[in-house]
Amino acid sequence: MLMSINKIFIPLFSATVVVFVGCSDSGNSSFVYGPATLALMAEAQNGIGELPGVKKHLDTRFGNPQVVRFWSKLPLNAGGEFGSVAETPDTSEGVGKLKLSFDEPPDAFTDSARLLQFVTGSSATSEDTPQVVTVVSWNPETRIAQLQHEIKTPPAEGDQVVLDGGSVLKSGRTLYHRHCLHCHGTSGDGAGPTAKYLNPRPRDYRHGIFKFTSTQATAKVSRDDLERTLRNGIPGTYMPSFVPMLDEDELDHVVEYIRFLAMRGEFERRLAGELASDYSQDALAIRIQGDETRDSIVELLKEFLGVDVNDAIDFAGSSVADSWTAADEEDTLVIPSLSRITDSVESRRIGRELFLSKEIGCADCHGIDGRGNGPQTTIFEKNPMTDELYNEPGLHDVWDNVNQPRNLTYGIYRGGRRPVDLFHRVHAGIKGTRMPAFKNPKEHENIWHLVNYVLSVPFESEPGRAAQSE
Amino acid sequence: MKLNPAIAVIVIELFCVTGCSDTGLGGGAYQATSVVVLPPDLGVSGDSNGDTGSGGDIDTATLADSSSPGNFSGRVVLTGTAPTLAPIHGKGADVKDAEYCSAETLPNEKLVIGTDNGVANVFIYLQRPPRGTPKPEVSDVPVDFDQKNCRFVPHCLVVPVGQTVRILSDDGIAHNTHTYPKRGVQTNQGVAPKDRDGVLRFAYRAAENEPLVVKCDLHTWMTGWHLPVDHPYAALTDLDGNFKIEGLPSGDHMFTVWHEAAKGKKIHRRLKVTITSGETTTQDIEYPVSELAL
Repeated sequence: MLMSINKIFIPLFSATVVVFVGCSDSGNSSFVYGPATLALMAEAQNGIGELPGVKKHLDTRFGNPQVVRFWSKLPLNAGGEFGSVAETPDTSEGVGKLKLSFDEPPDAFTDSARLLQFVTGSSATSEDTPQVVTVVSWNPETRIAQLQHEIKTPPAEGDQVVLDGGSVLKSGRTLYHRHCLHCHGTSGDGAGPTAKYLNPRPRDYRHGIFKFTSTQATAKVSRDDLERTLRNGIPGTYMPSFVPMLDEDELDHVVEYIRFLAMRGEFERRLAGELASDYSQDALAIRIQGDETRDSIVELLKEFLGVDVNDAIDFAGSSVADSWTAADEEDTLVIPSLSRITDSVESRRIGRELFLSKEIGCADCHGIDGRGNGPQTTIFEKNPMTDELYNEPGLHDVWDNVNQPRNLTYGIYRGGRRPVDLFHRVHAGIKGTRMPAFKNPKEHENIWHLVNYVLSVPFESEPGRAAQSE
Repeated sequence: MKLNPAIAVIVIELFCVTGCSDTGLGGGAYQATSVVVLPPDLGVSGDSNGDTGSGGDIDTATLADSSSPGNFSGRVVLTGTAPTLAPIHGKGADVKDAEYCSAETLPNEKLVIGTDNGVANVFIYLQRPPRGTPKPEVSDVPVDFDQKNCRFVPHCLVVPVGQTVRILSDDGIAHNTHTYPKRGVQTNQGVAPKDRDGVLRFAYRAAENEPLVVKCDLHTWMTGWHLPVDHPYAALTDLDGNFKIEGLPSGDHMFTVWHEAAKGKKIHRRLKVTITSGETTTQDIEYPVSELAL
């Protein structure tokens, strides 16, 4: 009898503990701060007196998982109808309706409860409490929105508004939490509860770097690339395909929320990076060893947080916005200058020669027989950013994982198996890894020969054999 | 008194559902909206007036007055007994691509000392230019960054943002140039043998706060340093440790003195130098041996 109660109570007790650990005390989850922020001295993280530090600046612009903030400087299709107040309302009586003008006017509706948020102006009283009102009906001809309740702080003509603001991010967040979070984590840090059991590790989005793209070597991932990854999964990894589970709209929404998390992480890294050389914990230790005191350093930090931080935020925000905007522009795409060279024994032979040549050096990493065991994989490398030796031999990526160069004999290609996918891998490299770009514009023909050879490797009876026979 | 395990499971599941709802949307004022749209020009304090200030280091001269500039010159001198660094490898050593990589002895350029203990390859620069400094005109002539016997030539480079850097190779083997900027975008691209035209060309898009490392992924000992700047107030010491920065606005400036072998990579974080109009301020910079981190 005692035994049987114990058998039940112990799992019950432990499960309850798990549940409580899983949620923070308020029942809300939070975005974590990244290593770049946590490496700063405490005052730089948390601010000094009234002056906010990196954490506050980040939260102000990105919110938390419950209340996501869409900083419209960033190129996100967050969803919603954007517009402005067309006429300052007469405030002699309570304001129960508003005349609005929208960039793309929504269709008429009645008996609804849609939310209108004031983005700028006195109604958006402060960044902590932007005012939200409920719109009952809307007539696109009169441009009158009937409100559910009269508003206390009426807006003025020209104030920016948004109806159903952030609807895409909202939907994307729900889907992300349902399908992606358990590996990629609430913050997109690749550290969800399942992550530690996986190899390769789930992507940490916060560098703003994704491996498999169709964009130029120095460009970011495009929306289409992210969507392709959701569609096809990543063969050879735990990343599955989400089609047909998600429909076309849902794919778009998830992509947008992933981009949001990536931009949040990248903004954080960049902002913290602006303080790192002078105000990291490491820099603090070295400076105190010199002729400075902690107090004098805090004084300098105070100046930074009061004045220079404006430039730092501007830089971090603009560089994130500009690079993510460019990723979806047409001229960022890698487009082969000639269509695929027909696969032939001769083409494979040329490709194999290139593969083995000192000119390109594929075999340095992938090995002469393409098994991913070239000499570079056995070297102990130094972290180029910190100059410290890595603990493990092999090629490290920006996430500090050891990358096995692809074993080409398996015929499994993570970034996709279409010939053009392999063309993109060679042309632009694999971002965040040691796989470099070979983008000499005169060499597109040679890239196709390489692709033809690589696609033939799984079918060789011994290295180079298939290419030479027939 | 016997508990049904199935009930226990249900209780647990209820805990889960009420404890954290599926989207984690708790109570509070924004339960309904839960995405808040912020204006693009969000200012520092979070107000929407978008006053993003003009920045600039408070301690530097507050206004660039180019009508009466002065100069800053001097030497960086190692004090104490200069250590001798062993070469990375000797001539004929059994290393990768030995035909080129050990054709000559490969010196360790982490510390290069010239006559009278002058230290080469020290970067002396303003992290932020004085307010009002106009963006310098960028030459359309590329800066060359060469590779010879698996060594970057030059070892260090100050390069204006926007100016093209042309990567060359004199070696008959593949190289792979990989840059690691903190503010800008990485370049990671193969360089063909004996590329004297410079197929790989790029320009830095952002000034850096510190020099960035350039590596070759195929020859891991290869190291170079680039400092992209968006103003003209930066210099690199020559083989004997001499430097000169011209055309500085008069007033107090805070210079960063950076060297790859120094502890924390900085000999001085904020070296205060007063510039008088029409004059050259000459100041030697001592670099004590105790500051080396070799």
